[in-house]
Amino acid sequence: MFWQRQFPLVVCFVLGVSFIIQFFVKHPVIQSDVINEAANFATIIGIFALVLGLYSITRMHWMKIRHRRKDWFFSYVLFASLLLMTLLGWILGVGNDTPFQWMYMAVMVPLSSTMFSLLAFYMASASFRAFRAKSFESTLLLLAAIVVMLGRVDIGPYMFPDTSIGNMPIWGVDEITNWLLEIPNTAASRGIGLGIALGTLATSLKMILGIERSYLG
Amino acid sequence: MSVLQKLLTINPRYVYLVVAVAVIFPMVWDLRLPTVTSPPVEMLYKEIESLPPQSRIILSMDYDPSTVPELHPMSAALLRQCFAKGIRVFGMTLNIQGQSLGVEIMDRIAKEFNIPNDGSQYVFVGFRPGPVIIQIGEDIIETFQTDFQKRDLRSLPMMVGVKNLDQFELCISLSGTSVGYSWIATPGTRYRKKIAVGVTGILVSNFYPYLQSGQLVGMLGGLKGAAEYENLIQHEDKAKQGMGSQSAAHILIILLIIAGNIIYFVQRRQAESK
Repeated sequence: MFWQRQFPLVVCFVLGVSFIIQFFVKHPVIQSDVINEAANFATIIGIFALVLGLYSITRMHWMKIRHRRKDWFFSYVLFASLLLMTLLGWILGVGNDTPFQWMYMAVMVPLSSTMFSLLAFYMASASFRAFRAKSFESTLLLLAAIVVMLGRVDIGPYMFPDTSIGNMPIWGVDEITNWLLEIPNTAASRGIGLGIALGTLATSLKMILGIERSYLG
Repeated sequence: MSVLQKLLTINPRYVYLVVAVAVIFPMVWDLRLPTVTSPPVEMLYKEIESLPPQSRIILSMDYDPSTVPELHPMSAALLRQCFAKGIRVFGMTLNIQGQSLGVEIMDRIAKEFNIPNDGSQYVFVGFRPGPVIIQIGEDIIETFQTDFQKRDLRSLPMMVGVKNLDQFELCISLSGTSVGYSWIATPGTRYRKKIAVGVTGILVSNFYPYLQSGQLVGMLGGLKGAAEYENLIQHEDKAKQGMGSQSAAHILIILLIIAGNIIYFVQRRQAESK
């Protein structure tokens, strides 16, 4: 019971407090020794997370092959790729001008970029079907989105440049985009950020003090 | 089913086809328009321009292959400016998938300037998990110990006299995630270092409050930010090439939004009149 309940609470309290006091205590022991040790722990945990991820993906795809689930054949592709890249990196190295680097730049990069670019296709379809000016607020959002979309590409300022009527300057789409991002967007982002920060602070304090224990399972 | 209803329930594949044509056509045609520089990009450019030769900066390429089209041109443009000015670059990444990307771009741009990979002008230390940004504030040599090629950092000319972040003028993080906040919080706030970020287009709005508060000295946002930077250093490359496609895609999406809303309002009016 001690190892399952009290011990994790003590670890959480000690590490949580040590990370907080680094911002307030400038003593070298705190600034270098304690924080470096804590950061070392975090680094080691980060590396173990990679190992855990490898175990998890291997197990998931092995089960998929075993039970002949949908698209099980692609799990073999995953294992073959995993094995090939590991062997290439292990035996021939991972720097520039190695087969590993060639495979990474010629296969992995285009595949990942392509997957990410699919977003544009879904967004185009969704913009046609779902983005509607149903209320005053949604109309405002819609207009702001259109202006920012124009202002974030070269063709926007080309179509709607800064101009003037007599001595009165008229902002082009580029200036309006900058204003939207710097003023209303900054205000909203700051409000959201403060809300998130306060929520994180409250939850962290509850975890450090042992009030919030749901992470113990 | 009315014509309008049919249009709204059109097979999405037709929309995808139109998007594909809109993206591919400017690429093949090499459609280029003048680029207007935004204030956050100009701020970063001026910040680096103001550094004397032999200054050191940290360039953390915290991105993975999925965001390469937006962020790799930023790395290239920043490295070109630094190498042209004789600024020494300490390359690193907090993303394990960024390791191969980092070593590729640093070596490639260095070759353009005939800079040998001897650790005098640049060094790339590869991947380390996130907590290292706490440790580099205290002892950067002890934190990394060796570079990507397993050379002792102490033996590299540009690392002579380096202990911690005090010997670096600027830290730049390029990422498609929220890792930029960690750079602002630790090297920026705790160690008072100047921080700049390069982020994907979708994250741009999140970082504006930090520009206004002075916690960021500059920001490159999305492909447009990279294209603006290429324009400033007068070396047009991948970002500028991609802006034609991005322009066409944005115009198409705006037209689709307008078309969708026209259909919606006509349908609503028809329903009300019945």
